[in-house]
Amino acid sequence: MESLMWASTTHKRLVHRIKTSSPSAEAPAISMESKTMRHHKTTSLVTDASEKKHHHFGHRRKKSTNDANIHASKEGHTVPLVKFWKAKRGFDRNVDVIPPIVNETVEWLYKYALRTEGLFRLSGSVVDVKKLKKKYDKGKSPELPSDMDPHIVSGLLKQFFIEPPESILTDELYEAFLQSVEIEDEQARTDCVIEVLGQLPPANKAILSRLFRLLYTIQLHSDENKMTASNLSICFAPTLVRKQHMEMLKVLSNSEVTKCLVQFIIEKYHAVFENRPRAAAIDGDKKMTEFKKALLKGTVRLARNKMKELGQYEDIQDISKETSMQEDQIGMEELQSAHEKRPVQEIAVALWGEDFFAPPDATPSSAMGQRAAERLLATRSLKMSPQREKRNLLNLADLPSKDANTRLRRLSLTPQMMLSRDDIVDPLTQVVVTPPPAELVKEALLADLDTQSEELPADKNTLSPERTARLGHHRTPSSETAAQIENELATQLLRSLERGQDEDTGPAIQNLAAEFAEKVRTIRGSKGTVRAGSFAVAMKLFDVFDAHVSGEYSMGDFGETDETTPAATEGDNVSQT
Amino acid sequence: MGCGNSQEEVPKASAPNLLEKADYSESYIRNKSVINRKLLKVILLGDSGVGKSSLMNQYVHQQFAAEYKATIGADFLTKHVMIDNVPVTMQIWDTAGQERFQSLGVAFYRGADCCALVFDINSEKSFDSVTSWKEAQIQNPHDFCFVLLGNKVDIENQRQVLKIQRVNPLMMSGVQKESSQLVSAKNGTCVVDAFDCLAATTLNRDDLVS
Repeated sequence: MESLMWASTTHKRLVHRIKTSSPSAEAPAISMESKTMRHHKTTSLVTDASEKKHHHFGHRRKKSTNDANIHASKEGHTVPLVKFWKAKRGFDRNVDVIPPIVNETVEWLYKYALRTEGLFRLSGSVVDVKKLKKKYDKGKSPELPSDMDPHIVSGLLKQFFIEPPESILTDELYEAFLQSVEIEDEQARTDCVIEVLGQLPPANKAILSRLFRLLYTIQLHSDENKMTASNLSICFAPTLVRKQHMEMLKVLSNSEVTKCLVQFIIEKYHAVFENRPRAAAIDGDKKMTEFKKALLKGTVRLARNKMKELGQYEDIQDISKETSMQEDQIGMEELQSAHEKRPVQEIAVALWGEDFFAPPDATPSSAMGQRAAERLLATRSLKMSPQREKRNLLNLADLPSKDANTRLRRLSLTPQMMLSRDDIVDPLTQVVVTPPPAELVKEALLADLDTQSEELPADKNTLSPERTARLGHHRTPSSETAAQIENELATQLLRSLERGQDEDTGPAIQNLAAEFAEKVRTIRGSKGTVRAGSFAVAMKLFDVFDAHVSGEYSMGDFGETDETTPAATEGDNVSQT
Repeated sequence: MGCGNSQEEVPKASAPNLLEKADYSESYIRNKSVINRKLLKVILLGDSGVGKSSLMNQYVHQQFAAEYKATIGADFLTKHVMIDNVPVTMQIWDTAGQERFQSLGVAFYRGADCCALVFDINSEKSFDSVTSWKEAQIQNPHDFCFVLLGNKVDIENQRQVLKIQRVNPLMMSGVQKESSQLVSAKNGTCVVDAFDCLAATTLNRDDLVS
């Protein structure tokens, strides 16, 4: 009975929580798409869209267009490799782009090395590999001349997978991956591999897709390069299929299975990566049952860790209690019901977004961008539950809970964050946020402004005693601080405009800023006093820019000034008139 | 009287032949008293594709497989030999040359007596990385006996690496220069010699240490 409860309710709750209660959970999904929107951005901001796009691609490093829908680098600079690592763990699951090192080496290998004997088996000069690796670490894209030793380039690509402690296949899903190849029926095995691959974070899967496509192509030339799928899998299995803190003996005893897995994925590249996941049916097969159990466990663990990253510790504790007690008791019946209710798929959708279930090589569409924008707006209007408001998280402990939550929500992905032109690493969730098209940002920003001005009390009377008490923290910003903030805001805006000016999008940002300023002025003018909403928005802008420019947040300052008390509105008013 | 004694007799009877090395059949050595037997754990290290597995197969089975196949994880074979009149069981560990295993190695190489660093004489790179293999794998280099083996001597005309004798002075300390040889796993040149020599050196060294 209990285990049945685990299978049904836990999943429901898990999905529910990820979906509804955490705006941050939306962040990866959005940011995943925002890179697709980058094309959109470049095109939508100039009059001659097609010409611009052409121009844009002309300057890019040569990329194979067939599977490069996830682009890593902007023109001129690439993202430092360090941004893709989660400290001491592995590939950052919230990253939404393929690192340049993967893109560029894969491309080079396609071009010059498909016929090289012993590719990926023989190693290149360690010194040279390290040298090049260092450049990528610093965010540079070193030139890879065509006459380079192919083993250096292959070594470079391999290095990317070797270095992080956690494999690209994630620790959580290790068992599920191993179980999936144990299944004897080939069709069922394919389904299972697809299913477990479907649980991976989007970037991980995209990277794997690129890698395996390359490996698949290499083994097609095996009469020349001698690298059959079997040989390639021997070389890649220990790197790809591994788990942290495993005993050497276990690693060795598993090596045959891991080899089979990698070989299977190489040989079945098209079937595995170009099909939508579909849950393999549960028959009486013992191995299938084992696989389903492993998959269920892995998925729940992945979700749990994801929530831990998002800072929702209480939720995790609940779920840990439920799952750790019962996850060993999953029976046939529960599996069957889990299969029917598709909780595994639901969790994946909740974690990584629906579009993830599209084949990774699908071409980006503006519809995707549109959906992302909608989701963004939906996220913005989410309300925090009172329960969550009480929570003190990380170093937000000193702030009033409301502020902490506002901040959390804000940090996850605010329109203002997107205003800035560079990738932003969210300090809390480590999400790399890539700016979406300015128009969508504008929309979201204005909508945000409206809700803010409606939401927050305009004057003393609307602030209930309870609320004042709950805020707990009503240090009044003097007129001086308000003026200071205005000044700062202006400076920051200017700076961002300066940044924008040397590129085509500069005017667009200027317009946006002007419009924004107009809106603020209208609100101020119509009521005769400074509305709390505009003040909060101004603060938010300042806050975000500040974080972006200086690279750090000063939590204390924020807490003191965010909630506008009546005195502040008056003070601000004075300074304005 | 019967069985037990007759087994004792066998070595005694063939004792005069001990002077001639060639007369030790493997079955004879295997049957020899376990108590005297020494176990020698030898590990083969080196870049991927230099021929570690081929060397081991040539030594133990006198076979050479022409197929191009990477080693999965690790593998070991044993061979019973007589070294300086001492029965020795050689336990030869063949390792995957994949980089990933460089970090897994420590537990794996525990208890090894000798470490044969294999390189391909046609590949300068594989020779250069011998040093890094040595340093990466062995926590305490002084506990090991190192031997260099330059493989693929049959493809001499393409040779990139200088003759090992000339390179030796440049090599890192700790390598047993006199036991380092150029071999060919393909046609078997010097393979048996090299392993016997390696075993002898290791045993001598162990005697000196103890």
